Amino acid sequence: MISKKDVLHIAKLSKLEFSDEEIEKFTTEMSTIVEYVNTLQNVDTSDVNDELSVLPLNDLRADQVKPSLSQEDAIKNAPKKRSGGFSVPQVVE
Amino acid sequence: MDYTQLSILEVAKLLREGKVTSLELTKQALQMAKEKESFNALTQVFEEDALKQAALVDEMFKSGKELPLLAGVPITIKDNINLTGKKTTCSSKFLSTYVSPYDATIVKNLKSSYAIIIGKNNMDEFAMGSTTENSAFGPTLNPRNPQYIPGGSSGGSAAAVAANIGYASVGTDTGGSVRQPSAMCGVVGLKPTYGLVSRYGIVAFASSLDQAGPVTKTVKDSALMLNVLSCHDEMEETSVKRDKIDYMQSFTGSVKGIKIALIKECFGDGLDEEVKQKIMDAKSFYESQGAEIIELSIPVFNDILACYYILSSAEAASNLSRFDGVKYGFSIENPKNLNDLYLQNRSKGFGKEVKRRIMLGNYVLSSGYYDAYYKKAKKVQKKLVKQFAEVFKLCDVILMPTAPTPAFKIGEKVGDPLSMYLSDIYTVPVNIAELPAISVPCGVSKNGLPIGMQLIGSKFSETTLFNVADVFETQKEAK
Repeated sequence: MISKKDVLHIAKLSKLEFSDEEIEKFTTEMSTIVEYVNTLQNVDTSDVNDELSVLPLNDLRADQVKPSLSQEDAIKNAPKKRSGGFSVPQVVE
Repeated sequence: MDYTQLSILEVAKLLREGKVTSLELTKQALQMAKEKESFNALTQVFEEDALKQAALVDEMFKSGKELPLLAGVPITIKDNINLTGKKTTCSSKFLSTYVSPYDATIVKNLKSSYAIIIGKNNMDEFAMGSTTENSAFGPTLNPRNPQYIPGGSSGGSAAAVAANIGYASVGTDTGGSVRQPSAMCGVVGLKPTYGLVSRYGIVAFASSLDQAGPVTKTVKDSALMLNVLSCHDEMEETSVKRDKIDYMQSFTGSVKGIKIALIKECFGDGLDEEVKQKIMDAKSFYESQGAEIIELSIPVFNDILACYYILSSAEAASNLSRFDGVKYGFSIENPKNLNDLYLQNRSKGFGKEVKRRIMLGNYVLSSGYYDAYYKKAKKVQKKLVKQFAEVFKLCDVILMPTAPTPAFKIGEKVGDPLSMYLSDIYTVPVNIAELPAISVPCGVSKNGLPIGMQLIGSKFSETTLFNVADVFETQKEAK
């Protein structure tokens, strides 16, 4: 039901990579899990409407400027930083 | 004298009578953490900070200042809750060096009640799991029998409280992660109504289901902890605005006239006979105390686990997409390019179960499958909400098992994710319907493992839950 091709496609979307052996294992495991969650198709939901939201929205707070995390604290955990910002490999050649 | 086995209320009284100091309590709790280190209930211990804090609270007591009940009491918190200056690892290699630059709202609440946070609890990586075996720091052992799992994902929280390492812990419950380990370790675990406790500063797993809740030794301690944890928080959009309730006023000592429902779908295949018997014993007890027992039905109940795995994995996949190793977290040296950096950081930083959930989540959200899975699951969620509402027109509280079996052996279900997921079959519907529920110890199996019962109420009915649970806890033994 879930093919190796599906797993490779989902891995790409998930920004994850796996060894060939892991792919085999994931294909089997995911098939079992997807087969299980597929049982949901048998539930009759014709009596509930299509709107997705279950929660009513709460009050929104006033849009006021307040002190928050300083720049220094915000980048403190960055593995690579430069000039007060996050540093990543070059994107545009 | 050893105070570690007492409840929060008991030590709070001793503190006020000047019979014990916070420093003594904190030293004993830290000593217990050392003695019980092999249980692996903690990822970090804050000895120096805790002792300093305890001495300060003792000064305040001495000056005659009136303090909150939790003041000076040593506790632990799950390691997915941000505490300034300390690591928030989520028991993941990805976050093993991450140091929190801010406090979660619930940590602020604990601090303003002068609780002494002595350490952080081990957990399933990113709270994904039911056994605490999915931790990058190794499994937590069940203090009642170290060959067994403590449950999960807040297994470190439940194990710490059961082992008397601190008087309470704060865990998080997305599909049963506070209640199920509490049942398996023989302690009390509460999952509050969605929105009652702020999620700000707690690492998100499935945002529409996540809710933090206390693990304690007694029901009254649970109420005391909820007094501290619950609040409206403008930093959190789903935090509910309502008047603050004093949950310590919940206790009437009686269940006379209370309507307690058993749900017939909960007693089918897969339920352990011993667990079933204990739930029936509890039912008989309540009946003898003047409660009215009724049998009702939630036809969609057993389909909710599938619904949960779709919704929670979909949200997890989205929430965990922020972990790229650029802003914080695990990062490799010398990536080939940006994409390679993402791929390698995530593939090397996340553990197996986390990857499984991300993959499942992205599968059900991917083009062509969204309607069949995610949208269908949202509809089933609505159906469940409706069916619960019908049931609560006829009863005050639902009684059912917390988990289908007592704890199982470490390693027993590692290779079989689906069978592990099934241990949450009774807890996930509560999160899906945003309800409150409490797990209370209701007996011990022949093998000496704790069994927990779950009481579920309608939204914001925590006072009723506390009362009904407390009557069982304080009067069952006496009978």
